[in-house]
Amino acid sequence: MSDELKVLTRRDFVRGTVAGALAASLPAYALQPKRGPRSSMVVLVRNQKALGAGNSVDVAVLRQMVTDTVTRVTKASSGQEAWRSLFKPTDIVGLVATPHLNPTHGELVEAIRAALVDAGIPAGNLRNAQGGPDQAKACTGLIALPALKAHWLTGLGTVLKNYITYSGSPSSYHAQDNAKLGEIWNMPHVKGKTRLVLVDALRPLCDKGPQPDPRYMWNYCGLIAGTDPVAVETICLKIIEEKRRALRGEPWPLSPPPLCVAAADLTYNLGTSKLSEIKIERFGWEQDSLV
Amino acid sequence: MRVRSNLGKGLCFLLATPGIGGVAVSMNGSGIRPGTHENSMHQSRPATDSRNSPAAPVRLPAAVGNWKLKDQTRTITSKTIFDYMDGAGELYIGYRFRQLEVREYTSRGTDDILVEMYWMASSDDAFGLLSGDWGGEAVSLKPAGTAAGAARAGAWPRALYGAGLLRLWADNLYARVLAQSETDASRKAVLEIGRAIAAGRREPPPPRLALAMPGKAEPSFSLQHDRLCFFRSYLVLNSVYFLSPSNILDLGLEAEATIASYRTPAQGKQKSAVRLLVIRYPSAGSAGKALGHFVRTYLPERKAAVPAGSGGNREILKIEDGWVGYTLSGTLLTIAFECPTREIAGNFLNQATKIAGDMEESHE
Repeated sequence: MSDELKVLTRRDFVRGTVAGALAASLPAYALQPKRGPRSSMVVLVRNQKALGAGNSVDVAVLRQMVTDTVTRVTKASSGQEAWRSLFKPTDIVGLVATPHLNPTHGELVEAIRAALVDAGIPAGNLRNAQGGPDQAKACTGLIALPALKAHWLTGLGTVLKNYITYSGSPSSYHAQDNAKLGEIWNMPHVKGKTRLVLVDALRPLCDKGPQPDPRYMWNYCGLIAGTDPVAVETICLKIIEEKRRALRGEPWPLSPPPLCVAAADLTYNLGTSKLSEIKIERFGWEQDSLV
Repeated sequence: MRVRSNLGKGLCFLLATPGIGGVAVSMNGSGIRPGTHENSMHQSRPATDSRNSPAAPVRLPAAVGNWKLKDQTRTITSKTIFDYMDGAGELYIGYRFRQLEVREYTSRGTDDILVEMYWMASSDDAFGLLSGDWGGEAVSLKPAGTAAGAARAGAWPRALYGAGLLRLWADNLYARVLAQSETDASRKAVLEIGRAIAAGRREPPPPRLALAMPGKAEPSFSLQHDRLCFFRSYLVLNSVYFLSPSNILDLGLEAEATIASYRTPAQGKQKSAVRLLVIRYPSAGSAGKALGHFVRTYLPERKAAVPAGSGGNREILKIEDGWVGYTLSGTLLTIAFECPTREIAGNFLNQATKIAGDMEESHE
């Protein structure tokens, strides 16, 4: 970022002028139409039995959680109907999971794969689509399946960061450029393909990510889902922030702040980052939901 | 039981190969390539650095409890670290990183234990990595019967354990030993591995810049030792105290810096602490240029009065989150953030100015 552009600083956050500073620091998108009011729904499904001894996954419980989640997101009456409302049998469906460093639980990926097949999507049409741009190009529909974690470089490393390899140049979105993560979702080979964002919040990481640090991991036993990636990310962010506050007994803001979330809303027009515009539909275990 | 470690797909690894310059050598004590468990200890020696004498080799036990050391050593360099850990690699590159060696202990029926040994150019760099988080239980990796104080370096522990993860600083080596599922047995094994890593290694003091941070500041501010971080990169600074996504202080591997929090006894946790940042640049010229950059970007209301490449020597201003003061003395730039009054900001700068003078004298 050159000095010719507005340099975002801590003072913008203290003043509450991040939005203006973001627009000025990302000039190519500064002329986006003014943002109108938005409304999004995020589904939060939790079951304390999802993880057992040694944090092993109870597959049956998890599969039911997946069904509960997708039916609430789509308002369908059954799991099959829900998946069919998202994908056609002719779709090539990419499952985009976090591959390593606090990865998406393999059991979750398998549960979704099985549910899609059960709904009539041919197994041959399903693919692990994490990787370079060609992975996204090969798919007609995507399911973003990140795991919930803080990230020491970007604040949060969950939904928006999940497609970083689709850019073809992941390092271009590190450090000060993490605010641009939203632009990947608008790239031609990605835009409009994401039918569902489903976050693995079974055992999140609230600090020092992406490297695993069990001091900051806990059994939240949840799935967080929706069709608005920014709204889902915003709820994820709220959970991480509240967990950090609870751990320290004092405000413990993510550092650096996850600029990519507000930018995805205000600059890239991907969805809402305002909690007041997000309706949360909760199901299941309520204790310590943090949101 | 499923193993969930960061050793999943996409990892780039190289078998350590004796005789190749700059690549770690992993050999057992008799010079036989690892591959059998005939010997009880496996040695690992880092590439040497011109600023250090050859480091003592690490002798990992072939077995701890029910865990057995796998033969394979993965050696990760600055060129391959992003393949190994994606963006997390920036943390290590932000210090003077040489290479990473990864070993694993396996046990039937329980999760693996991951051993990561980060060889750094200096003890200061290894200390810096530990200083990013002083949380956890301070543990001694000394043999039984050793004085507890020997496990510390001044106010700071040399090893911290929490929930299955041991982090330690031993000379120019920073290590993470991780058991994903914590049990009594895994804790014992992790600590035993830690003792093996630390054994025989020098115990240099913390970086001079960390030791130089004032313990007190008037009227009643005290240094929070568990909120002190030594670093070189603005990315690391931002992970401790966010200033800007841009490198507005011109930090880099040739610089060294410490940031620490100060609180008063009466100050509740909900009130912000004062942050004192001290940076030593490689030259007075680069320090002046950095201050100019900082003033122009962070304190633009001052920039009209400050020509490019110069920040002026000392200034205290009121901004949104309190009083901020800075002072430049030779190669040392000191900045105090979030001071409740102008007078307190001045007190911090006065302390730092004295330290700067002391350090400049000893440097020369």
